[in-house]
Amino acid sequence: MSLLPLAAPAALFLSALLFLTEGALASRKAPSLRKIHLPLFSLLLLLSLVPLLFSAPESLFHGQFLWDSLSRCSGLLLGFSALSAMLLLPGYSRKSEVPGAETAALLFLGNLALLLLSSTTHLLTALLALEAFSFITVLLGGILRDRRSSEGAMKTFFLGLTASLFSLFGLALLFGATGKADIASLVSLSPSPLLKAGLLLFLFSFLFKFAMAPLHSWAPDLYQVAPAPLGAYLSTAPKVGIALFLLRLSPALTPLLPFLGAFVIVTVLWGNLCALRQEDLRRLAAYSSVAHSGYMALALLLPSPFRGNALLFYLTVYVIMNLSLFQALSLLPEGPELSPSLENLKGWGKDEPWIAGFLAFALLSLAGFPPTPGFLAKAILFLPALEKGLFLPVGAALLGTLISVAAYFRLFAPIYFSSGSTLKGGDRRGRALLALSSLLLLVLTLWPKGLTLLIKEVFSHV
Amino acid sequence: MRGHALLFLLAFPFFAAALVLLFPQKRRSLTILLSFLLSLLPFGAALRLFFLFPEGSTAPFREISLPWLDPGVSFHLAVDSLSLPLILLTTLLLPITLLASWKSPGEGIKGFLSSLFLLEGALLGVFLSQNALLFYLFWEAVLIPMYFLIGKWGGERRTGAARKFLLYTMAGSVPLLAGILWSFSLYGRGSFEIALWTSAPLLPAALQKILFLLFLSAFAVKLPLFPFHTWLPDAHTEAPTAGSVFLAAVLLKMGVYGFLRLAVPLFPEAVLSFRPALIALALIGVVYGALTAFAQEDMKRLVAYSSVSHMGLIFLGLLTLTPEGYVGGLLQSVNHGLSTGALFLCVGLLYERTHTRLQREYGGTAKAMPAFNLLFLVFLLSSAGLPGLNGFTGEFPIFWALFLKSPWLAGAALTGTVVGAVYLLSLYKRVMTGPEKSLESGTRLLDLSPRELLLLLPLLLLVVWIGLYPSLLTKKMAPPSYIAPFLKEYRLPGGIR
Repeated sequence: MSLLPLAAPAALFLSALLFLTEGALASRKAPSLRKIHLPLFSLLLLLSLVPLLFSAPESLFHGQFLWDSLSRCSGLLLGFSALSAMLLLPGYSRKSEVPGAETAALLFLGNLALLLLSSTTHLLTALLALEAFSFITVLLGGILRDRRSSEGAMKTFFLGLTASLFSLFGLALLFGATGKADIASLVSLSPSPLLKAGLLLFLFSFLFKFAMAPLHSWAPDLYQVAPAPLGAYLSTAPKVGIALFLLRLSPALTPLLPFLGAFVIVTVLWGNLCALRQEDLRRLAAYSSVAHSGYMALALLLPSPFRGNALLFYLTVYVIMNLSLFQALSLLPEGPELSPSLENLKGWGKDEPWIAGFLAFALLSLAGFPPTPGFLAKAILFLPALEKGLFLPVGAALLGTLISVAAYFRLFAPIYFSSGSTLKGGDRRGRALLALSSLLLLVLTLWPKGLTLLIKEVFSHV
Repeated sequence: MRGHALLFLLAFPFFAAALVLLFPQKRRSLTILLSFLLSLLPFGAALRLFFLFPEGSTAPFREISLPWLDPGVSFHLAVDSLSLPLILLTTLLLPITLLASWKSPGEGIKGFLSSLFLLEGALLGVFLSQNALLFYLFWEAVLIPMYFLIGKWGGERRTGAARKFLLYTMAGSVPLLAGILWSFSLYGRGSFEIALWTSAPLLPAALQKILFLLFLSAFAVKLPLFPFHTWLPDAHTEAPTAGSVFLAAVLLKMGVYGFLRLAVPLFPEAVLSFRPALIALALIGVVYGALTAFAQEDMKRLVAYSSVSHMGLIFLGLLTLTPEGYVGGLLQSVNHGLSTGALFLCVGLLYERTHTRLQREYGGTAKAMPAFNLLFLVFLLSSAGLPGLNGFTGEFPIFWALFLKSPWLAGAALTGTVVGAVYLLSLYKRVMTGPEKSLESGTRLLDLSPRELLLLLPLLLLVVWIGLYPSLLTKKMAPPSYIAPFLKEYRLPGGIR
């Protein structure tokens, strides 16, 4: 047994400790975010990604920590998401209210929790990791500490607490019924009503944090009050951790597929319908992320080789395009009473043609327009689903896609069809990051085979 | 690899769309002139293809296939006798519409020109694709430049019209995607190649029906088939002239093309079983479109509704599933593209002078604009189907096929043409004849400038040429091998159903 796989989590943990110490010692007023925190953060994050290159799959502590290529994938996506959040902060309009060291520490801890979540085959560890992340969600979401953000964070906290109590009860039932709590032994057992009930209750918190309708109501409130750069993190990183854990759990979910299917249908329709009615851009983004959770959950209904391929492809594309969206939104100014709305995009197409173009590309991809990667992700998902005869969920997903086109295209009208005063914000870093995300999307558009080959490689080692 | 000509034809518009963005924004005329010159290249390539295309050929020509995506999506392009005339039409209209855009879109000319090139590229992609997923990809890609053309450079109610256009067509094409993905699994060849699907044994009739309806939803919206036409008048009216021309001349033909390329060869039994209903809807479209056009005060709206009527007639011809109906329908698709495109250009030219499209604001224009008068009259008569002009050569085989199928049907469809002559000539009477209105307001209308003549003359030439010598096109329009089997059946003696 080698302890090498623990290097990545250890690096994340130590980096978090370092930032916490620094935060406690440094004076609050020092303008250190851009000069100290950002370079240090980037350096440490890159260092923590280095262990991802070591490939030997390893299962430690009786499957409590499984280090395979899926976990390494998760570490990479999480790293991209956290780095994106940190890079956007210096250009954020309310940056003086965001404590740099604490944010950095929380991002490291968040990545640690989610990396553990996506690398475990034990239900108790998974639940603990998820709970650990839910604290980080609340702290990051409410980091501005004004009335509105405290309210949003508290709502999320109490609802999340309730959801995790259900999961704990489910875990107790599972353990009571079987005496086991690891995925492998759950799969081998014949499904009894108690097992089913336990699994369903256990899933509750995961579906809640994954923002599946009707358990999504916290998401718009939280995204609206969280600083946009951290919204970028909160709308992508937890999806990575939870989706990959659910992928590991999916062999045990076979008796629950009808329930999951119902969740998928409700989520894709409700998320997109609500997105259609939003004026506030971050609420719109929140509902869009709810809908995308639905599509990703649809992948869990597929038979085995397709399940992982479709989910990982969708997840990767989702992370990139949703980060693009939030990267663009974080260029808009915010205030204690000011939340960017559709109005604020007026005239972007003329005054900021590049930024507008990048945003438009991300929106087209989110809407699943061909030939963007968003379309390919959906095609790769729907194709095996139809072959398996999942007509109802696919039909709902297609209808949802249609609604989502209407929702995303509402942004084009102010951007391109009207001129007006442009509120400028953001800095070079934010713009460069947005350009990088668009470049990634473009590469995926022109050469999607690269990603499919990569995914094939990932699953050949699992 | 002689298929590289097709690769060039498809890739060049996208390249040009990017290139246009680098042109100087300040020097408007130069930018337009350069893009006009660029747009001649694809037209030249298409023209070359047309001359090289063997007469009477029913096989794909100049095929090229590059691997692209894993589950059976290849970049497979080819021209055949069905797509050839439509490709020619698309590439011909781009230089013309570019010349027509000399003055009209006020700002953001580079974006406008770039959108037009993107539109051309996407349309060519639709007509060239031999792979169902690639076809769908371009089918959807057409929407985006068109959405921006309407929404950014359109008339007063452009935002709503653009949104309506987008949502209607998307609502049609999402079922098409479902149908294509489902077909992939049903045919079980692990490929999206259309040729593989058409050569496979036909699916069971019940499945054919469901899939046909999924596919048809996209084609019916584009055609447009009554009652899915309601997006059309708004989009055509609010779009800038170049957009209206492309909408009427080419975008509607995507419905015709899709129906012939996919629906008929893949689901012939379903086509037969739904045929009575489709004929009824198309017939309603013919009459309803004509009557509504008659009631329009706005000239652009009038031409838009006349499109509904004409497209209904084209679809009727195709639905007879006879060689005559096929050739008539396809030829009339080109003719409609030429004459309706020309009419939109004419209305656009008038609008640029007076800034109104209402018929009552005009009168006696013929005196002020004698050259325009002649051209406008020819295009109106061509649209009305006067023998000797192109409209007649397309309508005649359609009516012939309809008559063989049922004289009553032919008679009912003829009312559309009769009303068509009425509203087109009444348009002429109200706008061109009578006392000169423009004199009252103190400004005399200027006749066509050399540029405007230049953009209308090629259309005039074709209108007359096809009118006198339709074989120019028809000899290269033999039904391709995937459609021909479904046409012959109804030509047997006594077998006309």
